[in-house]
Amino acid sequence: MTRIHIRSLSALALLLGVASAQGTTTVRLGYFPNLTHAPALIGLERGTFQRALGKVKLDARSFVSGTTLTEAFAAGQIDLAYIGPGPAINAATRGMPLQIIAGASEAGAVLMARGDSGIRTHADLAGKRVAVPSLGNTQDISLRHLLKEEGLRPQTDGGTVTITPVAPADIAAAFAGKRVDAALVPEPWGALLQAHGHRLIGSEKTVWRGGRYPTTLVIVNTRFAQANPALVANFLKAHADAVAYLNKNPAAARTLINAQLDKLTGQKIDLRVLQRAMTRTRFTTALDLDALTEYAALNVEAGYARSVPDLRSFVRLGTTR
Amino acid sequence: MTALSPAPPVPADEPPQGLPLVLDGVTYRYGRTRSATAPAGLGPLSLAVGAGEFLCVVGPSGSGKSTLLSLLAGFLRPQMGTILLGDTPVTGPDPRLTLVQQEAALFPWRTVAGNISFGLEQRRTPRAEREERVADALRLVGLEGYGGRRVHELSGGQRQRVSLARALALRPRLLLLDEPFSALDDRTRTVLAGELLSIWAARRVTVVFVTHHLEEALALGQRVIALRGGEVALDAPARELNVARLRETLE
Amino acid sequence: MSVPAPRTDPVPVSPRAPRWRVLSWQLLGLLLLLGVWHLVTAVLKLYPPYVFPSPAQVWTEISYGLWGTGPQDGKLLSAIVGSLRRVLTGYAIAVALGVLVGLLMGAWRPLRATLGAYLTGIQSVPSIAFVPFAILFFGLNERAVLFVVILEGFIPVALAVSGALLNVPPALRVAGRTLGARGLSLTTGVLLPAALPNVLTGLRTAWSFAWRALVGGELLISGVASIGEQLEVGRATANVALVLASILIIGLIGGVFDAGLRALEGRVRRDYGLEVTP
Repeated sequence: MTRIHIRSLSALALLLGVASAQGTTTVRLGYFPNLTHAPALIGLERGTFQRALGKVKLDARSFVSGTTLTEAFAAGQIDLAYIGPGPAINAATRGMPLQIIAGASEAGAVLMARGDSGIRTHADLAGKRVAVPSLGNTQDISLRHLLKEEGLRPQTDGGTVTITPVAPADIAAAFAGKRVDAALVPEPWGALLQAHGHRLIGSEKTVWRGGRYPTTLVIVNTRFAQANPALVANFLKAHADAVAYLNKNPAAARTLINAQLDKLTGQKIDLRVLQRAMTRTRFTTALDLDALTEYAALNVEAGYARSVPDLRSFVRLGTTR
Repeated sequence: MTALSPAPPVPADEPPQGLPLVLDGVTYRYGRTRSATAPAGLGPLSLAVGAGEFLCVVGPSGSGKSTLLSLLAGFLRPQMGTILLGDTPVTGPDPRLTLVQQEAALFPWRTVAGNISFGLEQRRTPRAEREERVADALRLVGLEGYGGRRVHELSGGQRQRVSLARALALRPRLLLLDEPFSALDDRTRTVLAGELLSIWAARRVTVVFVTHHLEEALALGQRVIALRGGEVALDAPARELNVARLRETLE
Repeated sequence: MSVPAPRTDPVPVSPRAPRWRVLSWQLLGLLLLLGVWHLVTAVLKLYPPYVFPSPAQVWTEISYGLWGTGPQDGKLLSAIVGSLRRVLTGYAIAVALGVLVGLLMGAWRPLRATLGAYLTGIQSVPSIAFVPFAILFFGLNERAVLFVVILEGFIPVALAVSGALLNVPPALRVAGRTLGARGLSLTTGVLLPAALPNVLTGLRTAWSFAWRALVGGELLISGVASIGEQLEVGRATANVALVLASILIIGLIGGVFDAGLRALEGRVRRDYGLEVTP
């Protein structure tokens, strides 16, 4: 009877989205198979994450977009995650128990046009179909801002540009089938498309803020952080270690990243392509709060939120309380 | 009987009179597979029905009554022999004749007037004439004022009256009736039979009336033929026959 | 012992609950549902708002989305307009095509035996399964959605029309022929009207199939104003209130159209004398 009782209680806890802290035995980590999530890829491939957690088992799960990761987070199935600022801010705004505890990467997103689309400048996007990894994600919001600066509007706002969500790994196929004309994608998918002969029409710098914008953050479930401060601190150390490794040994890092991407997406990427992608991405544990605040404002501008949240209420860089 | 009384003088706009019907060696056989449900074949059958005559056809099921009607109505073509209505053969559904079925088979999506008007619309009769003929037909069957009714608002007897009116509005020169009153109760059946007789007397249309009800056949027809196994077993004026004689013939 | 009541003929008077009473039951049920929802979410707070928002939060999304005046408000309204335009276009084409194919199948039995069987098979495939295929043919756009809507909508119409034609009472066909109708005039003047009640049932099925196919297709092909996209946006931005608002709107629109078609069907069935109770 007692067992049943306990089991139903924990089922309830799961239902309520509570990360249960009953003597934590597993840490569930979410991330994407993108170069902008390279610290996660490195930490996993080198085994440093698992070592940092000691006896606690690391359960790493890759997601195709912030949308699916956020859903898993809301369902209480993710404790720690690498995620873009868009989904992170949206989730926090809706009251999900999350804290932003570190930066992971900056820039690393480019605007690519299909080789035969005739698009050469941002202005040429008028009347075209542009892909982003998912609606409301970091690249989607960047794209909407970029269009606004160009005097263009998405079709849903009465304009001519159609914004459509396509997983970055599927863009090459979507280009081949002429289903989309351009895409704002995180690396390495931009460099990969370039290698396939498609045209770069917006570099990581022209996309937004001269390239000084966060692309990936590390978030933690607030309740998990409260219950396991040491685990989180150890993980953050391993995260910083992975970032340092990326900056110090980029060539070795590329091989490790490639191995992970191959496992996750089945695509082996030419190391030179990866190198080009890496030059467009900066890895850092720091987080530009001003950029994050501006980002939240753009999120409102794009219609995904109605107010800019107080970021300080859920950003706890480097520490957990 | 009314049939023997002299015809009244013909007013100018009266519908044309019935045409004589002549069947010569008419034969129809269904496919080789003979199951219990397959309709019976017919013929060879030769028969002459005078203009304006009221002929009743009786016979047990399987005697070829339905086949005969289908041939006359033009739904079947004789495999041998000819059917002559007036001077021209019947080779398909013919504007000179109409069939009234056992079920009223009214169109429920049309009003009573709409049902009666249907055949006239098929003939592209001008609207004014159509309305006049519909009113005329309704009067003929005693349903004045029922034109706007829905079919499902009518009783069984009223429906069969509309069915009759629908056929008469086309001013057929041969009226085929396939057990039209068999679904009605006895009282309604008697009333309707009387009305049919007076309509026939007024219009002088040629009538072929199929029934398995022997008393009805004797009461209505000037002449009665009995079919058995697809052949004429008996052909005599109604006044020379009685039920016992008919029954004896059919057994 | 009471004297048996005389038969009242022929106008049937139906014993049914007054309309207002049925309506008040339905209203009461709705209020009860809203009450439980409110209790569970806003009062007892059994679920966090990012999993199961309260009725008030969903209402906020609906009011912003339908009559909000901010620069990004009113998106639900334009989504509804877009989706309705899309589904009505698709439905109209589906019905026209369905009637045509149904007529052909009804007229020619071998076609019904073959094509009819295939269509029944296709019908059992969930519409969403056709979307990737449609995208390959038409691209990531409205036409792919329309294709799926038409495919889903036309099959029940075609099957209903051909089935209804085969079930037209032979006596009506004979009546039509003896009254001078043949060929096309027999089809349009007798067979199709006779088939109408069953065809209407098919039209109702077709509507619900088409509406479901539309929302499913829109979910996968965003970029144009549509309810499916609102659902996807709500999902992508962790806005569950918007997701629920979209679901409510989808259900409401589907239900309203279904009720309209049902009323039409009921009216026709009454006129045809197929139902005694209205």
